[in-house]
Amino acid sequence: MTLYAPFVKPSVLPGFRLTIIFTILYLTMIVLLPLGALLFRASSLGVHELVVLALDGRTLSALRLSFVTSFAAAAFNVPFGLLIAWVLVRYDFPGRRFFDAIIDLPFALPTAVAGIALTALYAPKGWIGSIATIFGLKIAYTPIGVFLALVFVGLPFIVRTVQPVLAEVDRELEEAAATLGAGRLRTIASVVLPVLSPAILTGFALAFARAVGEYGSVIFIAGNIPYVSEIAPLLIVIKLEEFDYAGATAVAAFMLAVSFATLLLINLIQARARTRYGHV
Amino acid sequence: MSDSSVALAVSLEETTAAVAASPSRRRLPTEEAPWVRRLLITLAVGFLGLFLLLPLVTVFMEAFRKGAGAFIHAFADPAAVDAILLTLMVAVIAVPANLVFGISAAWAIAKFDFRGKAFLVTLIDLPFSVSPVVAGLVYVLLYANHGIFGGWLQSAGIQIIFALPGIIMATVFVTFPFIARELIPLMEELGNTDEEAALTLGASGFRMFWTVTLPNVKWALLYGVLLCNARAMGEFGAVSVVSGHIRGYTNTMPLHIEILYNEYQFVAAFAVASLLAALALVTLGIKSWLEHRYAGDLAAGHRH
Amino acid sequence: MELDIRNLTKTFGSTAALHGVDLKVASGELLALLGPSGSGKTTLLRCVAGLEIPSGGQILFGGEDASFKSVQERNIGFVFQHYALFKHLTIADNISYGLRVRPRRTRPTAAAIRNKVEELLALIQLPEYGGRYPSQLSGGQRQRVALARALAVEPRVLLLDEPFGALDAKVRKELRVWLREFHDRTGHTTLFVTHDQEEALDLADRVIVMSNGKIEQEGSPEDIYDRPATPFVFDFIGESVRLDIHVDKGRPFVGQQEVSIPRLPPLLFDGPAKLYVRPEHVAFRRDGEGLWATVVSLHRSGSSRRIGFRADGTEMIIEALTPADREPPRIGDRAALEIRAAGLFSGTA
Repeated sequence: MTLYAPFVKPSVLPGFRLTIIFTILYLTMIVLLPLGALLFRASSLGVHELVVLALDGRTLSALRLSFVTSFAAAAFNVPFGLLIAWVLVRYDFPGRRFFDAIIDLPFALPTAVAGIALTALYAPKGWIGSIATIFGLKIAYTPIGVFLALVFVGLPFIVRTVQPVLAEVDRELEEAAATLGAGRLRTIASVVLPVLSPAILTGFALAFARAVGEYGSVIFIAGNIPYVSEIAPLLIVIKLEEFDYAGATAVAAFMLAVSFATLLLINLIQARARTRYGHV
Repeated sequence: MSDSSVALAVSLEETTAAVAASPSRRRLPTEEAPWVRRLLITLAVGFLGLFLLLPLVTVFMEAFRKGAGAFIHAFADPAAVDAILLTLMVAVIAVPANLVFGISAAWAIAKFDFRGKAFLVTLIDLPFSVSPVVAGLVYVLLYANHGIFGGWLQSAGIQIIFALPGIIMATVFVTFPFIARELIPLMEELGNTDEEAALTLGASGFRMFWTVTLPNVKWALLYGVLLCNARAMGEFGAVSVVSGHIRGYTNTMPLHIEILYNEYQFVAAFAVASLLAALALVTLGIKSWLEHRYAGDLAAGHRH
Repeated sequence: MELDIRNLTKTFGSTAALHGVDLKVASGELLALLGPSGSGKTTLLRCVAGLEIPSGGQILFGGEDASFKSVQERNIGFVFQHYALFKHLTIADNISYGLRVRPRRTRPTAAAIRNKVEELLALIQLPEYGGRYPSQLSGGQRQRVALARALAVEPRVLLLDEPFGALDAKVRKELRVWLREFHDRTGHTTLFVTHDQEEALDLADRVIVMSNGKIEQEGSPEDIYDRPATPFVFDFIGESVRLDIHVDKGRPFVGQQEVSIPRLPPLLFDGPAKLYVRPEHVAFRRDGEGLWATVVSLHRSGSSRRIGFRADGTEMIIEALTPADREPPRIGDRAALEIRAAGLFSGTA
């Protein structure tokens, strides 16, 4: 007890020592050690070599494709995610519970299954692909296909972060705005949206981070044409198959850095929202 | 009694008359006009139908494109059976491992106050924000023949990468936070009073956990296990990197789907896929049912 | 601006919240809507604001029918129990919100808005607080900001829904005094809802007592307290005991004893009746004429003492209040009670 008294607040409940030691040990074995190995490999490469590897033309275009399409897909999901969260929270309609449940589909459906289904749908002979072909639009095996797959993957992040916050929004705030003369649209824009904005930003960041790393849903529909529709995670796989561990490590380190930055950003957004508005 | 019911009847009559007189265009200031409402619902449902439902329907349509016979035939392939068995085996090991971790982490984090708690929670969330491909890569870097421990493992005759241990490790990494994530917010909300009461009544630590803590969180625990299981069986990217795609040996269901798809055996690919899709649907169905039934017992706003 | 409410009804589903309420509010009046929860007082206030759609009846602002006007068109100021301040806006931006959302042609200039905010901040005695956020203010300060925000749009009527309900007792009393002074200075027609009778009687020019969606009594605070018109008001306002008595040939009896009650209108019925007596209207003597009773309880509370008497020949308890420094009787002592004022209503429960 005296050993860890300054570290943990005393409690009558048993089992702290056992569970915390197990938790940290397991965490270290499964997560920290492997990620540490990556950082170790990356640092042994040196900054110069990392930059050279990452600036290779094919790598650069893969990273650009991944980041641009991920950003676009997350941004595209913001208005639609908001709309869906709004409809699910505010309105009652037949099938509401079904649609509410189906939001989590991209979480629960294995990525490979989603990948081949999206490809079948958007391929030139698929239901949607054939319609798009009439208008001269090619979706599968182009960046548009990558974008659509990432929209599928990212949607629940926006809906599920906005939904609980929207449900908590005090109706009195909207009534107050109305008594002060604000119209409905104005009220939503100036009173509801600002309250939701930390959740929207968080959802956007989560969707973006997930999209950048997404593999299974994308590789089937992307067609994986170098310099055109090849995403960064696929490049890691290709480099590994060529036993180019250094190259794979460089790309992975870069993606990991972006993930951590996103995670940090999310924490900052939430901390800022808390201090600014009291507990929102 | 009879007097008051007469009065009620009169007042109801009055109000129905008044309702008839008031124009229906009036609405509350916090509501949208009916046409706006209908438009928004249509847009939202349309979007969900196009982006979520259609891909789901496609899986089953493609699986049965050539009839039930072709569907069943896909499972006559010994490679398919091997893939299913391997997937089950991976889940049987990975899910209990993460279950023990999830309960242990939730107990330490939710029931005690200690320094560095927020940091520990962030670390537990880490696998959510790591690409599955990177998750596979880190194990390759550690355990492959050219990896950090590769030489040592090789001399000891232990094969991790391109073998079952690697697949399990990668799966455990990817599904690592699910159960802990479900339990921590709920156990924090429940507080310590129930457990403290059990202790004052003379229960042992283990008995207290078994009879007080566990019943309180059983639904969240069940949902966490289901989600963890669905992800474990469906994981593709991380497993793909560490497996080596050895048919009948290191091929899980998602990897088998990929091989079939790349060999243009679409019906077989979608048949196997439909099994995993059905698993996902069952998971979602149970989640929805649990949320409806035990609205208060599951912490709102899951993040995955 | 005067307000005229005519035969207002409101039903939620099959339950009626308001049963044909008629109410006139004079310009500049400070009016309290008082009642227990579920009495319809908040529904009435929200109907006036346009936050609730009445099922029937009319609401006239200055003689003009506003029943079909939206809340935005009514130009009212509404203060919510939990303030409903916009957390993401500064105090100044909260106060100026109603001016900034106006269409361009009626919107004041930025400078005029700034001046208005300064003026209102001074009025609510928070002159240096414009740049802060609501989370940095105390409850009482937030409610004053909410009032300033409602006043910024120069409303025709000010509506306050349990404005002090979320505050602790001390702040509540301070803010009550402040609101009365504030009203005397600014003279807005004001309706406020409260379930706290002390607040209503202390603050309002006129009090409307409501129960079950109807007005039970309206009048000055003196009227309401001294001359309750119905059994409900007797029960709800102040303290009283209820005695089940009977009237025989126009004379009231407690048990077998006749009681004399001054200033009671002639009783035009015989049979069971209810007598409401406030403790401070009961005096007692050791001898002489009166309602004979036995002391059964003594209870000291603060500066006064409460004595319980059981009327002879009955199980009915009558309470009297005496100063604590007066020599009290002892349990079992007998006394003659004099009832100086009471309300009498025909019928049983």
